[in-house]
Amino acid sequence: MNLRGLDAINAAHGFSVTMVGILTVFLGLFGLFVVLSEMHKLILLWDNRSQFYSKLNSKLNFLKKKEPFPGYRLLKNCPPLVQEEARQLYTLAKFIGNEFTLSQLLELAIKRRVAISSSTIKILKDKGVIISKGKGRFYWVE
Amino acid sequence: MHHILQYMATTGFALINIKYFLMIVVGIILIYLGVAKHYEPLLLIPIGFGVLVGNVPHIAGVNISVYDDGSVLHYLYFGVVKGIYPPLIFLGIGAMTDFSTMLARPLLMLLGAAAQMGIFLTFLGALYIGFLPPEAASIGIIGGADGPTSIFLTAKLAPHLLGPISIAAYSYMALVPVIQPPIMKLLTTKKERLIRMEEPREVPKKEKTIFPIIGFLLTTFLAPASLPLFSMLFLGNLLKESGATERLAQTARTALIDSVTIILGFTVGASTQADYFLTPKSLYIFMLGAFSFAVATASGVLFAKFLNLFVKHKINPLIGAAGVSAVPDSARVVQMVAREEDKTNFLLMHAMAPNVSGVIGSAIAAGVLWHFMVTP
Repeated sequence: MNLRGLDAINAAHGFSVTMVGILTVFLGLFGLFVVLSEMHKLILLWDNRSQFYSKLNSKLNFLKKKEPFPGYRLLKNCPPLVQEEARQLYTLAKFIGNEFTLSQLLELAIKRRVAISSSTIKILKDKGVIISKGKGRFYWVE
Repeated sequence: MHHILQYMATTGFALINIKYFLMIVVGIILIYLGVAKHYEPLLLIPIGFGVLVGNVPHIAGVNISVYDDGSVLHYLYFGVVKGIYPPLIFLGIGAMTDFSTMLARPLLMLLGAAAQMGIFLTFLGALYIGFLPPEAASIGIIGGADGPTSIFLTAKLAPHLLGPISIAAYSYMALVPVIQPPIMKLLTTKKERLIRMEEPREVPKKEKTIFPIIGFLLTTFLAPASLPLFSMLFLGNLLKESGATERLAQTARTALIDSVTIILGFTVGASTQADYFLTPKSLYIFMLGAFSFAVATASGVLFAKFLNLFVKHKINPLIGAAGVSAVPDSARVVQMVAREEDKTNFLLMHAMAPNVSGVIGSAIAAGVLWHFMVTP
């Protein structure tokens, strides 16, 4: 004969099954509730990811310490005088255009009365700040 | 003359007794409720007719009933006994269900969880009365108000109770408009019934497409035993929402679910042979089923009131009653009761959220009960 009453419930672990059952149902639907509450935000973020990346980039650029001129990192170990001359040369090179010859650079330096030593130009070439494109033409590293 | 008399003795007229007669009356009542009252006609008419078929008296050995090996009905009933039809019905349900209201306000899903209390309290009640644990679990699931889930779990745990449990589940689902309103009114004040809920947000297609995948993974990882039901439910929904498989979704929500519903209803009805059905156990099952529905409704309503203590945008507690997963009948009942108080208050959309989450909740509950009943 089957058990009845509380004995039957205890024998079948009825109370623990009930507790686990109710908890699992709540946990399942609560988990879905949490995920679904945030899902539309994630989808919105995904849909506007280009905006998100540009915002992120602008924030990261802000955080980055800006170099005084391109290639400055390559001259970090050089004396300050060389760095200063390189900065001035960059301004001149930019004035000429994307590509330039060394004679163009030196002529412009003389014209603008900027004192440039030939050793600085050699350093810029050696360190890869100005890169040869052949036929005597150079460009400034980015 | 001898042959005539011998044949006459084997006809239904000669073999009928009060039990068969009563069951035929039950079948006619179910058909009447479906046809005249429009209570779940898609289910009650095949079931009611199945009850008539199952209770045509016949002599033993002619192999015509669902219980006779080799009979046509036995093969059709195979899908019930092996739990094949319920997942197919879930596929159709998934393909026709729009989860947007639930996605728009996921908090309402918790009402679908609260309403599953009826399942577990009825499980305790059935144990208390003296049912064996697998039988008690099968009876408890009636409170989920989810016919396919009830049949699925009962087929696995207590196949000998399939008849009374499925008839009880579908009858009470059909009687949702009668059972729920008094409980809803009893547990709420007029002021609460008048609460208007804020408009749900528009849910983008991408969100609706991702949901079945996330929903499936999360629920089945938590309750792996519910995999047959959830896999079909969420596959059906993915077919619908992906937009790439409209033809399959269309078949799942029309031809497939309709065919399976006819066979399921008919064979479940035919399994209610008087000798198997008219027992004291069936009476208890019907009583416990009613209790289960009442507790589920009350739990949903009371939990909605509880949530109102914490939320900024108040919830009309009536929608808690839709946590029982009789989709969409209990949501319609919520709308009906709300409109009795205020004709311009439309709660149907809001009630659909706990309603469809109730389907998920009852399937999780079935998975948990199945797990406990098959593991030592």
